[in-house]
Amino acid sequence: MYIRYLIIFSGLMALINAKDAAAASFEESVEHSRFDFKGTVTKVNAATLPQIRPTASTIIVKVDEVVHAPPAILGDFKGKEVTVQLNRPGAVRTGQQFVFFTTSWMFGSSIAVREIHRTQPEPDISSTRSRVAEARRTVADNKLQNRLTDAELVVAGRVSAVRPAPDDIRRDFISEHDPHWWEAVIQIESVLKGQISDRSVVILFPSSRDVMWERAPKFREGQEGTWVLHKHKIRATTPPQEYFTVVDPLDFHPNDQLDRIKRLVR
Amino acid sequence: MKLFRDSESRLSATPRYCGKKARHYGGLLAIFAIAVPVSAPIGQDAVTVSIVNMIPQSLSGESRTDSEPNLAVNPSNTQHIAASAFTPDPMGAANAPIYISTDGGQTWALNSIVPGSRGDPDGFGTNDITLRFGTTSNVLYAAILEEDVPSSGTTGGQLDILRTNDFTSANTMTPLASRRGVDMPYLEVTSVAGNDRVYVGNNDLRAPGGMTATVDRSLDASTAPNPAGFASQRVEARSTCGRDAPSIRPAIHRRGTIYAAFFRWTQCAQNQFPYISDVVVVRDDHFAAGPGTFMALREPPPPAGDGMPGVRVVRSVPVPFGRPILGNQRVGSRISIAVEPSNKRHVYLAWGHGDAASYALYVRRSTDGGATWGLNLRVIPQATNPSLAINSRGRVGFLYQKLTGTAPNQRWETHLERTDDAFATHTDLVLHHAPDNVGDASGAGPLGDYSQLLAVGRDFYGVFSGNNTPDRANFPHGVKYQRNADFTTGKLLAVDNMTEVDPSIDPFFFKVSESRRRRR
Repeated sequence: MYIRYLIIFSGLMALINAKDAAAASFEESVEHSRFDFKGTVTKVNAATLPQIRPTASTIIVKVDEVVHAPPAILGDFKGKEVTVQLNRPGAVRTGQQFVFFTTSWMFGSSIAVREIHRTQPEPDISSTRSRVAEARRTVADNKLQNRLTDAELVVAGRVSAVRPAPDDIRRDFISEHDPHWWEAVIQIESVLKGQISDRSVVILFPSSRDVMWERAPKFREGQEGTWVLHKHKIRATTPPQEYFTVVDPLDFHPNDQLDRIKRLVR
Repeated sequence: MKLFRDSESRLSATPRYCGKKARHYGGLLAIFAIAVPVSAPIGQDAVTVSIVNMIPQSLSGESRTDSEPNLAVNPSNTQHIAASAFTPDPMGAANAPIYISTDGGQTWALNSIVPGSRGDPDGFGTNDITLRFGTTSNVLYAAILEEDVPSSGTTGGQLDILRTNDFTSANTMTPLASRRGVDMPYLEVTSVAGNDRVYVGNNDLRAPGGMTATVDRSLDASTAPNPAGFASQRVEARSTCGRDAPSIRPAIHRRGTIYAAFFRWTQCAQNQFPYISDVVVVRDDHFAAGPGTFMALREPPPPAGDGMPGVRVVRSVPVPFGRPILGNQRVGSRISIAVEPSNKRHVYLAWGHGDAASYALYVRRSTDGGATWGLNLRVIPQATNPSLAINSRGRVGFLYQKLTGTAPNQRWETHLERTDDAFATHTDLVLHHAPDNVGDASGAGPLGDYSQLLAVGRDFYGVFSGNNTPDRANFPHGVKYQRNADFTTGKLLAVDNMTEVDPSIDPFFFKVSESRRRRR
């Protein structure tokens, strides 16, 4: 009797684990994919770009439905043919339909993508779209949560002043990739993580718009939002000292993200 | 309806002459050029100029600043060409793209195979990037500064030296060597007895004593496993004000002579403008393989010199580092060096110096392996991004971008000058001229910190970035656009061929073919 229960329990656990693994695999696929679509294989051993030598791994797929579209500059792919490089050569036949999770490969007169994962299409494509959208939200939340977990201080507030950083911080940075550090003074309205006794905190941000710093958040007086602050050692000072710096796009969020950050912060 | 102009110009270069003798013959040569429109003013060659906007049709909707281009032509198969620019992966994937062509540069695609990107479609793909093919190996190398390495803004970026045996494949390039604290890696390659010898000029900001000008070299990069024998060779022997300028440019002669040129900063205090600098050339005669590399050139003892390794071609000149002074373009560290394939002692050097009012490019030549240098052969005011190359016949090509006009109506002109007689006479091809009013006015500026000229056999190949407005008047020698463009209205169009796209900065490939004149 007990043995029978044990077998049933083990079976249930295996089922739950398999479902978790499948969910994890799905999220992982979504995390790495950039273009997800339902498509029909129109040719095998073929490619839509002259720069690609067709092999058993390259197929042409007609995009029937877009599940997750790439950036708009690439246009609307519905009805167009694209090249897909399969994970495993020869794994599909002409006429078969799949949902492809893909990432970038080549962009020319047409585009080619690399398969990350593929599934059999669901009867209703909108449910696939919902699952993918949900997985993408989870992936984005996980990334932000990691940044929050690493942060020393997370504060909501308002920029009361911006100014060039003192000379001893900017000293010795003589490169076209210099950050050109500026300071922003943040009047703290609430502390979401960490401890600080003052009602304001001074942070460093790169004012440079060089390629190395273009995507780092820039601040202006009056700007409101939430700052995810990490300390970095500034070597120019003698001895090197640690300052709160904002260098990553995930280090600043406008006010409409406050509830999300509160939900994710630990 | 796809609207683009596909045209090649068979010589219409305007000959420019220097000196009285040249002026004397100018009229005669002009008549000759009109009478025989397919012949060139230099020698007896027919010249074909082709220029191609490299943005592929599938990216017609893009409007980014795709600046600071670089180029690699496979000497074993000149149909295979690779290029780079500040171009992110269009889908924001983990790899950055390179531009590839398998038809000699007439059509281009982006191949996302470079690791180290932040995966941001609004990013830059990589930070600085240059690339070259081995001369016989078909292996493509790239030297990059990663985009995705978190930095607190201390010094430099993360250098990766990469390779691929098949630049059209989907496989991510293989990292060979990696190091932090590096700026502006610039790569050159030669193949010797089946081995690729790779030289990466770079500013190693962690080098001791502020002697940062460095060449990383491998003597067998095509097959050796990571780190492929790469070792850093310091090429700065003198003291500096804390570091050298970012650009350290190697040039290779296939018999083993390696030159490197760089700016030695001597005064670079904070908030100082301009800095003060020497322009230095060093040389190694044995592929930089042995101990004590890059010591073959040494100045004479005082008072003529300082007895140190490396010849200072000019001393204590102003260098306007840190601010744009030509329109929206920064120009603080611009240098190029090329060695003649048939004579390892003949070497040309181009660099820029001056303050905001006097900035110019200068070209000089040495005929004794860099020991002494002649007077200025060319002085081009208000110009940047010099790139020199010498073809198999000893013809010198000099690519540069010159600002003309007065603000706010300034324009960038991209010139290719060619000479057979050390610029006593030369032919000037204006490849592109367009307003300086699009693209990112910050960072590396609209053009970037370099463009590139190469010579393979008799032909010159190059790449530059510029305003992509589809206007025939901007391209005196014609142009081919892959992206959707309407030359009648002067508008760029998105993938749907209807939606208007803002003008921006694109990379342009060009080839100047110097085939022999056909006998009639």
